[in-house]
Amino acid sequence: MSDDVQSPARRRLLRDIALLVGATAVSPQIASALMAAGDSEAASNPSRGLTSSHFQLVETLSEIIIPQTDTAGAIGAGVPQFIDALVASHYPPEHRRRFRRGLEDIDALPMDSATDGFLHATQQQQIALVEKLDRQAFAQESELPGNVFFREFKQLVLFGYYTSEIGATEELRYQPIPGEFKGCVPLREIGRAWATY
Amino acid sequence: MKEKIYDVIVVGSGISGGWAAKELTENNMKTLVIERGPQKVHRQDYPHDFSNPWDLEQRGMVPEQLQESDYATQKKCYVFNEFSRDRFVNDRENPYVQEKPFDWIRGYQTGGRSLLWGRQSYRWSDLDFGANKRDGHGVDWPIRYRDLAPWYDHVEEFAGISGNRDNIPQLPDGIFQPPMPMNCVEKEIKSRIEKAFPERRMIIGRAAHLTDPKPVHTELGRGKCQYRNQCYRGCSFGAYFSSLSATLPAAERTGNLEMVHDSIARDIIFDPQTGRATGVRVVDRLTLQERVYRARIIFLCASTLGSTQLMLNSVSDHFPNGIANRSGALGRYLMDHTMSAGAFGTVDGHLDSYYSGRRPNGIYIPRFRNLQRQGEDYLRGFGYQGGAMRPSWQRRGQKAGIGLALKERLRQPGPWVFHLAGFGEMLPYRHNRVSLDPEKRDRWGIPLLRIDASWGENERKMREDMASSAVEMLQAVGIGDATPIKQDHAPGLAIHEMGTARMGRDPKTSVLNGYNQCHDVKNLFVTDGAAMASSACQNPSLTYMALTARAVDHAVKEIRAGRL
Repeated sequence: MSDDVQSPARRRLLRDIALLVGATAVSPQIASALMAAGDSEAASNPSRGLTSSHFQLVETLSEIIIPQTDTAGAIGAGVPQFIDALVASHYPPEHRRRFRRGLEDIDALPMDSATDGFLHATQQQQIALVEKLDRQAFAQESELPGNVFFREFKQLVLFGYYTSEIGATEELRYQPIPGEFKGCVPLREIGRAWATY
Repeated sequence: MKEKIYDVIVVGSGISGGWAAKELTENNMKTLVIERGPQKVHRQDYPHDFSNPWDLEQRGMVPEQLQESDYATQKKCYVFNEFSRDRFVNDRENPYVQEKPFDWIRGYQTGGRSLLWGRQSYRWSDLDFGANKRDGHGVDWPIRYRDLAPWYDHVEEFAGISGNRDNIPQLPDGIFQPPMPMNCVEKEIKSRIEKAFPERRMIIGRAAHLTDPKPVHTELGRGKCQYRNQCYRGCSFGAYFSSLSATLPAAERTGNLEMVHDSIARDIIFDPQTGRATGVRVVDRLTLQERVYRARIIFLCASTLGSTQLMLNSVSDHFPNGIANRSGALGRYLMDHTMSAGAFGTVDGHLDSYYSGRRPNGIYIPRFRNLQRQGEDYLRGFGYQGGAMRPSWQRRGQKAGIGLALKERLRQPGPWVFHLAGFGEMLPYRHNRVSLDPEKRDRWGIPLLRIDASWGENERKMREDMASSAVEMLQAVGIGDATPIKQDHAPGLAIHEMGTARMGRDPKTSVLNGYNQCHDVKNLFVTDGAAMASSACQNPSLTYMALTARAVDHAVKEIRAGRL
């Protein structure tokens, strides 16, 4: 829609994409996911709780956790906008600060090659780092701040993704009004997990 | 102008007040219902009835700061979220004093907590009505099962309780809507449990949902359960029982009902000449103005602690310690249920079977302890609620794994898990009590309620058994990783608070007689949870309904006979 293209949110999104595409190693996956996100309603919210570099970190991290496959990934489902809104209006100031610090700490982690932070690393490097963070976070009940942050972040990504319209209706199965309860149904008739209890 | 005198005033419009209004108006009594909260209209005021998770920016989460500032207690309720927040009280605006931790979960609006209740509906039996007499804790109930049985019939038929006829003496059958089905795994666990423990039964939960509506329901606009499992948001189908969907519309169509909202009952006016309550003084929630309403009979259905607070605040030369409180029992013997003790574990196999629809109900294992004889090192007993299900992303995401592998794993439902969570009887202790704060008042000038309640040794011992017996049953049905659940909680959080104006045979030790009528003030009735002399272990609302309908029947007969 031409209106949409002209909207500040749309312009901002295109600027963000341009920024990312201009960066050394944005993956085609993330770029196409961003393009797709431009059509979703959630994506038209301007960033509120996060700075633009924090927002990019959230996009990159969340899309690595839930990538686009045959269905949309985290970015396509509007997860970064959900997290942004949550940080802006759900978190009290101290929690907000802690969350931003958690993102910054990830960006400051040393990468294998001489690149300038997480956002500028190659996609392979980014994925390898997130895999490592993930393993560490769930290895033991580690209470190191980095691990606590990663667990919280992953939980938000999953929550944001599977409660989104795409996550609930395209990735999983969703019935707003089932109308009846059947206690024994072959799984193949449903095919995937229900999104809601 | 001559002051209007109603036949009856009912204070409160929740589960009990709705029933009082229905029964009274259907008996041609000109009835005024006084509700302290704002008006809520069935369907119109269920803003999130048809919301999808993604329709709310925060997907149903309540902002952390708001939870802390305004819902410090309410946020502990298992159905508190952004879809339901509008029907919980604001704790900051409605303070109370906790001498010891007590979670007082409240909903002030038309229909009260009937818009939030868990809907599990079980009859009591003489095991329960005879419990106090049997072991000497509390006073003997002035009624037995036979007194209440016809009234259980009466309320079940109208409310619509889905359930199976299971022929279990300690959990009598009722007038049921067709039962909801168990899933495959529950069916198998049921047969294994009943084989391993012949004295234990696992049944489908009995819940206040219409599964096959009858004309008595459809003529009020109520319909069949749609298996959405989001009752706490309000149900425009009217499929679960609430005052809004059922009793108040029934009362309204008689033409005998009047209702006022935003009217906080402050005290009951007593006439020492006649020995009768003559009216209720209210404070307008919004304007703070006082008003008085007059009636020949008064029914208190303002919730367990609400009714008692109102009685304690109704002092006169005649009743310096609260109206109808010559016994000194008013405010005492507060009870709740002890819960959050049980077990869970993974069920092997059945990976090709699943379910469809969200059943707003689970399974129930009725009490099996201390039935015919005292066999444990604690008194009374507990029942389990539970169920089998296949968790999805909500519980399965919190382990290592990212990317495609994570996405594919969460596409499929997880292995079956089964859980049991006990609800246990709490003894009536004299020291568990509520009183009025001598100084602090709320914004309407009403003294704050002080709550001083704690668990006793009997509840602690029972909880141990609730957890270990659950583990034992899970192991017996082949659940290898059975894990105990034992989460401590303050009294109140089971939201089954009961007692503080108990029924009894002796006016010297109890507040109410066998018809929920004050021993000391014959035209004052209390028919909500305050009346309970013991707590049993069943969810109590169905019993409040039956007691209320029975009390109305008695009051109407007495009025017609010229005795009241």
